[in-house]
Amino acid sequence: MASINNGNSGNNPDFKFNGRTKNLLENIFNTMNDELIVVDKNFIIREVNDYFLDQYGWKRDEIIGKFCYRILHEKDEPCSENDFKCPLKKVFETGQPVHLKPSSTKQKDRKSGSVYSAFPLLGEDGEVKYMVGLTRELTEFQYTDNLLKDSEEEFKLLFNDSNVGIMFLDPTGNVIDINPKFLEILACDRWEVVEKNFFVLFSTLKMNSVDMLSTFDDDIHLDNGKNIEWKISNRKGKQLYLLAHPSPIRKNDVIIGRYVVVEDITEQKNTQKVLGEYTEVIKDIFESISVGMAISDLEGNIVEINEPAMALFGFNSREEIVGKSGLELLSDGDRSKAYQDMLKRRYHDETHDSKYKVKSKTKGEFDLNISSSLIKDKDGNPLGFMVISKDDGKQKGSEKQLIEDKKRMELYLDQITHDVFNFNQSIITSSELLLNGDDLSEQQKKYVKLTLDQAKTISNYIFNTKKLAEIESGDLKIHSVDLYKLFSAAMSRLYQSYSRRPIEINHQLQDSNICIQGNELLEHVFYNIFNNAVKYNKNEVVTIDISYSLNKDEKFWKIEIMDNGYGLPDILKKSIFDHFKSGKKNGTSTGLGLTLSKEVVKLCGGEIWIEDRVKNDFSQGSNFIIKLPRVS
Amino acid sequence: MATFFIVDDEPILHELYHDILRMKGHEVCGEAYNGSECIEKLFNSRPDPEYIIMDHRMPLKNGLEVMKYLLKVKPQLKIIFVSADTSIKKRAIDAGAIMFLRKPFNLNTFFLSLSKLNI
Repeated sequence: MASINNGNSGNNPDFKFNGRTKNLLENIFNTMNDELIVVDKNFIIREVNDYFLDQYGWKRDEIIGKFCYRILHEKDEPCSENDFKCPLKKVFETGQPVHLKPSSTKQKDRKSGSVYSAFPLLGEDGEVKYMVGLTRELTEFQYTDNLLKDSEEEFKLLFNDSNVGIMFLDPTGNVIDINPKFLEILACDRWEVVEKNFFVLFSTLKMNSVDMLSTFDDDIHLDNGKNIEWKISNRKGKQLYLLAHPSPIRKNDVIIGRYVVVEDITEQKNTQKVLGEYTEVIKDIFESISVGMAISDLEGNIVEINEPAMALFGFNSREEIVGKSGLELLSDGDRSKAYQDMLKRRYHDETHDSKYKVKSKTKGEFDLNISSSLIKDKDGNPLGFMVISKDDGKQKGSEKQLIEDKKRMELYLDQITHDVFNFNQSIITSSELLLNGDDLSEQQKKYVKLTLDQAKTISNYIFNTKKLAEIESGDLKIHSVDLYKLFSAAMSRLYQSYSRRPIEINHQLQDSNICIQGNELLEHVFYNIFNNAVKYNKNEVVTIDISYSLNKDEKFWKIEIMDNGYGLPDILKKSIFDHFKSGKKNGTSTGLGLTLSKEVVKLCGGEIWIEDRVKNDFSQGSNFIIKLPRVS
Repeated sequence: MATFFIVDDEPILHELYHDILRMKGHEVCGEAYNGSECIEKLFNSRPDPEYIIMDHRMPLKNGLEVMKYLLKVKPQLKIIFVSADTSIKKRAIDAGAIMFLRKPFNLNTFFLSLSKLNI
């Protein structure tokens, strides 16, 4: 610690030396090739050496007695914490020297690459009277060394904390260094890798030789940004896919080493594989659908795309877009919104329809309606997205065409139905008139009856088909209906159809006051059941018993229609309702009658099924049970 | 005995209506094969037929249009609407038909319907 006695020193009364010491010190002070400055605690420059004056081109009287912050930093007040890290305050506070790192901020005319140290100068009372500042320029080597030391710190941070694997190799392929992430990927300890040969090491990790050689093939990856996909088995036996970017390190065109940066893309590859399989399953739809469709992974990278979507964006081949981010197809303004929407779909499993501005190679920018939904695996884990794009004009066109086709078909069906009914009227009336006459033999009457029956069958068939079509189109509406009215109409029709056949219908419906959710077609359902009860009955008197009750929760009426007909074996009890599904006519089928009955009951929100009138003995007749929603 | 006017575009049905009405002692006093012809003939007919059997889908004018027109001019007419088109039933009744019969009907149903009208 320097200690200065006050003495006569020209303008510096604080410095006192004997003549010899003073000269020596002055010589040393002024001949040093470092900048020296003496500043008091009021920031006033008390002394500087000649080297200092030479560096800045000042004259002594321009700076002695002036504030240091004004001269050196051109400020009107002392430097704060945010400015040049002035050691003056610290030196006065602590009484200890302070050393600053090589300066990287430019001071007035000061070169960077210098070291600054400050030393306290004590008075006789032991208090710090002055600060002596010393600035030493670093040689290029020293500067670089210091910079490198700083850079090394930064590099170590990057290397060790990186999310990607980094490995350094010498020219012969021996591993010089490897970062923790890479070790984690390989599931190896450091000693298993460092100083080991790349080829030997990765052979044990089951990398194929082509990939190994590609890593060292400088022609492939000479700064052309090409990546290599590695497939390895790590030490734990887990199969991994890694995207590797190897690069040589050159000095004067000589390869002095290599580094490899790898990214674990195993999850992405597996997802793509599953998505690819998913696409394979829906391939037919994918290829034949007229709207644009694409499958992406969870990051929005395109895994598969169909022809209409490619045409929409002006791509000639899948390679132009598969593997790239779908967000790139959107205009800059909509990309952020689309990304947010994607996150919503991913984390909230929302199906999303939105309009975005997109970029096409052929059409430029235009608005597109896009519908997307989350694809999940069988365990419910999200895999990716299915995206359907709709070009408004084309989609509307297709929809319009479909609507027109549907209308035309409905018209044809309607016309055919009407005309067949009309033709049948002639056949039925003529046949009946024939039967009423006395001119025919029994055999002839039999043939006429056959004709009559077939004509009626045709009519029923056409009627049922039309009604089924109406049900499927959603054209039939349901509302509250009086159950007795429906039964009454059906019974009336039955009696008219079989005026010569004794039919006994037992019921208590007239006083029931039951309202159900239904449609007038229910009359047809009841008539159908009655008709079957008469048609398939060998008894002299046809007996039909109708009963009704509320189910436990009182939301449904259960209506039971029991007959004394042939009955139905169990094997036919279900299939009799599915005329089309069974693929063949069952023995007692009346055509579509019961199929239509089932559809009508279903439309009303109910159910219909058959049981035996006498349990386990179908030959005693059937019990048709219909459940229909109650209306209070 | 009642008098009937038959309106239908199927000639064979005219013959059959003749036969079945005659069975019950009734008479067919006139007929038309399309809506316009029906209006033309009925507008000037004296006396009016007691009942008109009206089909719906016919050339020139359909049964519903004809019925509405006729009932405006002669509200006393009694029209039995007969059609293979069941969707028209409610509109026909609302427009003034005294009965709706769905084609194809059997004789029993036809006669029962007439008896409900006291014919």
